[in-house]
Amino acid sequence: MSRFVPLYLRSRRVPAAVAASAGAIAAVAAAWAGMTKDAQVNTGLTVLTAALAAVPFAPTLAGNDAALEKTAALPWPPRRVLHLVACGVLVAGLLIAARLVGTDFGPEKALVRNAAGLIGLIGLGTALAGARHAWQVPLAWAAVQCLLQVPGGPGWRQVALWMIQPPENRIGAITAGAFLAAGVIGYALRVGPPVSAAEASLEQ
Amino acid sequence: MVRAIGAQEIAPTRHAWAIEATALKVKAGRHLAVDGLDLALGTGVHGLLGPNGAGKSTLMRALATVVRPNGGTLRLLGTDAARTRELRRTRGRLGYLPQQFGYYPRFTVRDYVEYMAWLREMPASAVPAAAQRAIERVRLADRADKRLKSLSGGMLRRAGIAQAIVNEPDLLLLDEPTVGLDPEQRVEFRELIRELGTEACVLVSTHLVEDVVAACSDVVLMDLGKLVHQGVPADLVRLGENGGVGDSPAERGYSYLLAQHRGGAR
Repeated sequence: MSRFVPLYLRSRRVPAAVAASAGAIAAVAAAWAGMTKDAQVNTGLTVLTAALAAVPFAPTLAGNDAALEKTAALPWPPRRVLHLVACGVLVAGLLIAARLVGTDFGPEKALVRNAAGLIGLIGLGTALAGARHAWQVPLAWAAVQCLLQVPGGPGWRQVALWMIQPPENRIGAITAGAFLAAGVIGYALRVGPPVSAAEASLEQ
Repeated sequence: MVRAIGAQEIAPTRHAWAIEATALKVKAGRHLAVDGLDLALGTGVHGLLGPNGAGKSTLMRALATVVRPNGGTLRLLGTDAARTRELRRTRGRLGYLPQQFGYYPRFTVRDYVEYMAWLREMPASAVPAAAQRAIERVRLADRADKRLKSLSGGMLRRAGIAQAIVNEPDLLLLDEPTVGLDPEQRVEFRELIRELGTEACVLVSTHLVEDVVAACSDVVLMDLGKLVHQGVPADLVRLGENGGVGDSPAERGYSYLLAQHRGGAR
């Protein structure tokens, strides 16, 4: 089996996604270091960086030919769950690892929460709209939260601005957890709307 | 190299037909592309003919378990295609070449065929030899380590055929496999499917009547989602004597049958 994991990762363009994700974090870290003396990155920018680090993984969630993958004998759901969770771990890990080069993207708890919620949103987006469009909602939502940095307030506002809540905030954590659960379950069951025969070759 | 024989390979066949469809209905989007089709196909090479929009590709997709039937019953190698949970073993014994297929362009031919063999759950130890054999059978051995993006249309088609036959399927579905092949390759391809058809049920969808006459043991003609005719290729040639348009007897037989069907439908 292990012989085929590299083939799988290559066919899903995972190496490029990892490079893009790490590149986004490095670019933000370099820009921050160049412009301020502060090691701690502004909360809004942290949120945006997490989204920029997560969205490159969206295209890896679908294969090159939906029909051929569907006829495959091997059971997809466990593999899809593993793929999605691994992407989340990677995003959180890369953000935390930025500390090693002197850029602090905030407490681990908040980074893990945001990475989990974003990956969940991407998984959910893939299940509902397809991997090609899954990046739009998480990135747009993170951009809005990056601009509206007002933690606290009524419950609905804490849900809407879940990424910028302090790390101990319960509502933020529950929101992220719900997105992760919905994303994992949704993506395990479905990879986007059905593709017609004529569109199949346009998928790549 | 001696290969271990699995219990699955020597298990007796318990189904009369590889493909058994009764009143099969399959939708393509909202359109009912296959509308009440009855079909039973066993071992051999079957040519699937029909005009554009007849529902050939949709039927192929249903037979390949890509889409689920919307009505009627469909049994593939003895398994009910509506029962998704039981399809796993059937899918491992199935080969499918879509009309247009997506692929990772930076894969070599070998990578691609091996990856598809893995998706069909072939035992890992058997994959390299099986991939090499499939590549040799489609005469791509000299290009086996070239990237897919560097191949011409006909070679890509053959790489597609190689992935479809890599697991030595009992049910092989080829949707317009001869598109882009030059005349010599088409003759080689006919030889290949004749050889495969001695042990498996091979269904080839095509627009080329001469391919069917030359290589198929059986002809299935469909129009507007329904079965028009099922018989031997010689039938087409014989019916061609009754009239119909075309440059060869078989083509005349094809158009005669379609005209008869459409006349009857009205």
